[in-house]
Amino acid sequence: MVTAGGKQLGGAAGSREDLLHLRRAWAEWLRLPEAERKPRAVSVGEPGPVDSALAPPEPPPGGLILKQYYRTLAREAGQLRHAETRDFVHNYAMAKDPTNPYRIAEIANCIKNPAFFEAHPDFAWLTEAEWKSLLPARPARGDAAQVPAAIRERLFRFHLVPAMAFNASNGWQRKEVRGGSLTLTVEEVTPEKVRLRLEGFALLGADCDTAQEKVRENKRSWGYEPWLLGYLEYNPQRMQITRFDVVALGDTYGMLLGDLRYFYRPGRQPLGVAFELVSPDVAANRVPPRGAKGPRLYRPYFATGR
Amino acid sequence: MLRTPWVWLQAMALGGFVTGVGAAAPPAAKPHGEPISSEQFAALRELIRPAPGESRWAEIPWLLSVYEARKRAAEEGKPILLWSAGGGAPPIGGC
Repeated sequence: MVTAGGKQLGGAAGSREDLLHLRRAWAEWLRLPEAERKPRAVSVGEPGPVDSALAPPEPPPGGLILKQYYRTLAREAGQLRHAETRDFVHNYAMAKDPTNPYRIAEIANCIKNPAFFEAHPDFAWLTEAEWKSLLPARPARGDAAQVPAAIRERLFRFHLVPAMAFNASNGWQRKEVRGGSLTLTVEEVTPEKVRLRLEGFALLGADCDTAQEKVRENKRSWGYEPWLLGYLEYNPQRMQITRFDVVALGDTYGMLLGDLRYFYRPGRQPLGVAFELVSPDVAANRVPPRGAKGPRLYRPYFATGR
Repeated sequence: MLRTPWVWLQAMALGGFVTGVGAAAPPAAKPHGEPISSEQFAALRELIRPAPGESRWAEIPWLLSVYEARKRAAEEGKPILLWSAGGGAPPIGGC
């Protein structure tokens, strides 16, 4: 916690002591003289120059922002449910192995934390030209077409990435996209609304047999093979998208190395991803996509399909 | 059967059509299991999205700019709660 004038309160919080630090910081704030705490007590000047090469990217003007959630799932009695700590306990033996070089004890704590199993967010950006290319000029029920390669590749490489469910990732490399398809079909046409159904699948990373073989050799290899289904709605008079709900569900398998080894589950395991349209007017919705979070990654993010 | 070339034409205009990435896979290469049915859609979406009571931090109207936060804190006479993270624990999306 800090003051508008830049005074730090309570020290930097650690992940296991957040509440303690917040209480201490709040107490320090209350101990400050009233003259420092009252409204307009601090004058904030104009911001200094910003190095554009280091500034976080802004959403493309007129573009679309989709918020997405990754959810680690499990199968039980033929049903899907949220994954829980018990789905990862097989890895505790690794945590107790003194020869293991990784920060396994820390990661073991992570898996005990219920927040680990919550829906993990990310954002997807489409340019104005891209989202408009999804809308047929003269929609007729039953018409269908493939989603443009630029959008398909971006969704596949940067937004169907299992590591995002528990860590960071720069996404799949282009060569790791083994195949897939995304089709739009016109389902309903009225003067006020056109509804499109989006469906398809993606084959990402290694195939399951290859990944399992690599795991037996203690090597990094993994994949994700989701089916996708979604619904887009737009106002044909205003050419404005009002709904962009898409879900992806498929098996992830294989193993990453290093710290990420702890998140391994044997066999095929379900992972769900959901996308929805959000407003660019909310500041928190303007966080850059995790696959485009730096200048080095921003260019390839928008170079998909080329 | 694809009958309408609406996307195809515009995708070509964007210069993004001809690529091997994501090209149609052979018929046998499909994900394990069945495609998602329209009957499954709503329940699956709810299963994936945050459940009630989860991710309460996301209900806070976060600002992304420290400068904007300083201006607002000064105007309202409040302290600033800074939250940043690296690696795989992004506070509100990206690192």
